[in-house]
Amino acid sequence: MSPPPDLARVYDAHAQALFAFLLDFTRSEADTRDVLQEVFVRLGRGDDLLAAARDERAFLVRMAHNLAIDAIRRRSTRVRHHEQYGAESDLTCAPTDFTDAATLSGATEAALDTLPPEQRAVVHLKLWAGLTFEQIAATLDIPANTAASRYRYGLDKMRAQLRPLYNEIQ
Amino acid sequence: MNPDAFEQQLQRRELTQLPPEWRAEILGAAVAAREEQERTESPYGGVPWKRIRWGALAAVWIAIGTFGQLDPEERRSVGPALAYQDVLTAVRERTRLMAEVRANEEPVEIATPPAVRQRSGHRHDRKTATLQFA
Repeated sequence: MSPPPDLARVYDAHAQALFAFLLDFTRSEADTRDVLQEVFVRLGRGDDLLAAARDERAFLVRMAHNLAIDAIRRRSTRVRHHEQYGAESDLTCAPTDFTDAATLSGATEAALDTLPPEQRAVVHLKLWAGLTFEQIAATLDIPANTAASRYRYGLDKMRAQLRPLYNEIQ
Repeated sequence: MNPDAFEQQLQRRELTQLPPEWRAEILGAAVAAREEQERTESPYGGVPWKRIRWGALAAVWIAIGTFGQLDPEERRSVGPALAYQDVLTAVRERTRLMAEVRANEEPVEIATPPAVRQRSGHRHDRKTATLQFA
């Protein structure tokens, strides 16, 4: 059973970005997989869902974000967030060979994990997806000022946690 | 550590790669969902809804086209849906007959009731009355 060319194209074009976003947002590989699959199942069911979208990536990120919120709510009723973090924190960032880099990477993941999901979403889209605040606002359906303030709050928190480590390494 | 340097440092974080084995699983699930929906939505077994809708639309247009080609007599024989045509034809026939009857009638003078003239308050009528007294 081969997938239709449109679904395969969308997967190849956007799945990696969605995966990275979802992994940072949910902090759970299982939830990321479920949500990513749900996105494509909906695309498969829907008659040309993407046809009306002005920006495919933004449309898909928004859909994934909404589904991930539901997934996080469902999960929070089952498991406490910090219990899962211990098992999965090393999944969110690629392993490295350098001790300092590995330490920094682990600390970055830990700092990211302390942020509320909505701040993580904005921080991810700004830092690792390269979106502007206007694009983030349009994608997440929030005001641009809200996107900017969430980013600033999130970054300040991470800076406060990572500063000692950076000072030690540098 | 100024904010720009910190942001740049964070941007160097390497993101985890999407597991390649997910592609077949996720796209397989999407295709299965599409096929399942088409099967459950369609009242005619495996025929997809899209095809049924287009088929129904085509059938309606063919019926309209065929009906448009029929003579009025043939249309009347099609059934009770043509009652409007029958009424229209009957009205036309009646109008024609009335016109014929009127054409054959002799002109008849209709006398104006005198009360109507007496009630008239026009200056012209009053003048005529005065002249008659004189």
